[in-house]
Amino acid sequence: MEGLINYLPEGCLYEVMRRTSPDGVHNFSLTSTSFRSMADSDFLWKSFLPSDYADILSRTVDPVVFTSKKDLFFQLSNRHVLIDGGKMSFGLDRGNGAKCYMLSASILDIDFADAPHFYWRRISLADSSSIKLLSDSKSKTTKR
Amino acid sequence: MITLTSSDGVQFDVREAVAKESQIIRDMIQDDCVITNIPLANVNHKILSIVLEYCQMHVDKTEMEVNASKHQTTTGEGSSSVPVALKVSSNKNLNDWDKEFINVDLDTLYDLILAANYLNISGLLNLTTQAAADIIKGKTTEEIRATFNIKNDFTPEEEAAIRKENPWAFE
Repeated sequence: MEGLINYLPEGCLYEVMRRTSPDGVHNFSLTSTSFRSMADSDFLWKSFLPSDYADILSRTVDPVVFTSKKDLFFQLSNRHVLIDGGKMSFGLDRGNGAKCYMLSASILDIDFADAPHFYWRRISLADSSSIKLLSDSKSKTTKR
Repeated sequence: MITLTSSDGVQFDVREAVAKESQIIRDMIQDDCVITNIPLANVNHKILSIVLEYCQMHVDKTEMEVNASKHQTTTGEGSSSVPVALKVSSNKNLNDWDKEFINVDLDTLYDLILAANYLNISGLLNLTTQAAADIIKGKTTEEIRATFNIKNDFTPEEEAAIRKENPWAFE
């Protein structure tokens, strides 16, 4: 017997889909051809993107080229993009679409940062770009 | 009282407030205030009785809250802190009740989604679609197919291409 889920109206299926998660929708889209076209729709994937995604995209250092909202979500959840002149990076959590920012140490307001010889010293790391994870950069640049 | 008649001819007498949990019935009553019998062509008696149980519970809880806060105001005891606490505990109970209520088999869940959609009961539609979403979450494609009895209609070539395609590149 074919699954009853096939008989749910499309509007109801959308309601179910958008309450799952991005990877849930992705797995669902691979179950059959009819679900694939529905689960790939811009309408659905827009609900996983942050409401201000257009504003964030306007702040990227390099333009983000995407073919669909799903493609955009995958790109942003695969790797961070630099924004605000490279002082921050932005990405999405693939599990729930949450916004993730990484901050450059150079824009952090650190006590006694102006007295480098006493407390802090900026060091260069071979594997470092201009961006470091907040907790990461703290542990690597803190020298007493 | 309003009589709701299921698609298989069973009549349910309910209070107007309970029936009005449904947006579609609310609109009907507003348009024609002497309406007393509403036939529901798309909901059978088994599902309608479950839907009405949900509406009854939610109306009762809301009314209890209103009465409690009125009582608080007239007796003048305490300030706003007590009704808020009462509301919180009542919401918690209602959430627990919802959770228990929606613990149904898949076929019933589909029927409840359809009924909530048809009658336009937003709370019930949220609850039922979230329950279906929770079943999907964390399952692989094969597990979803098996759970929902979905026929894989991709050709072997398409299937192979899909398997290769992984949008999350750095898995």
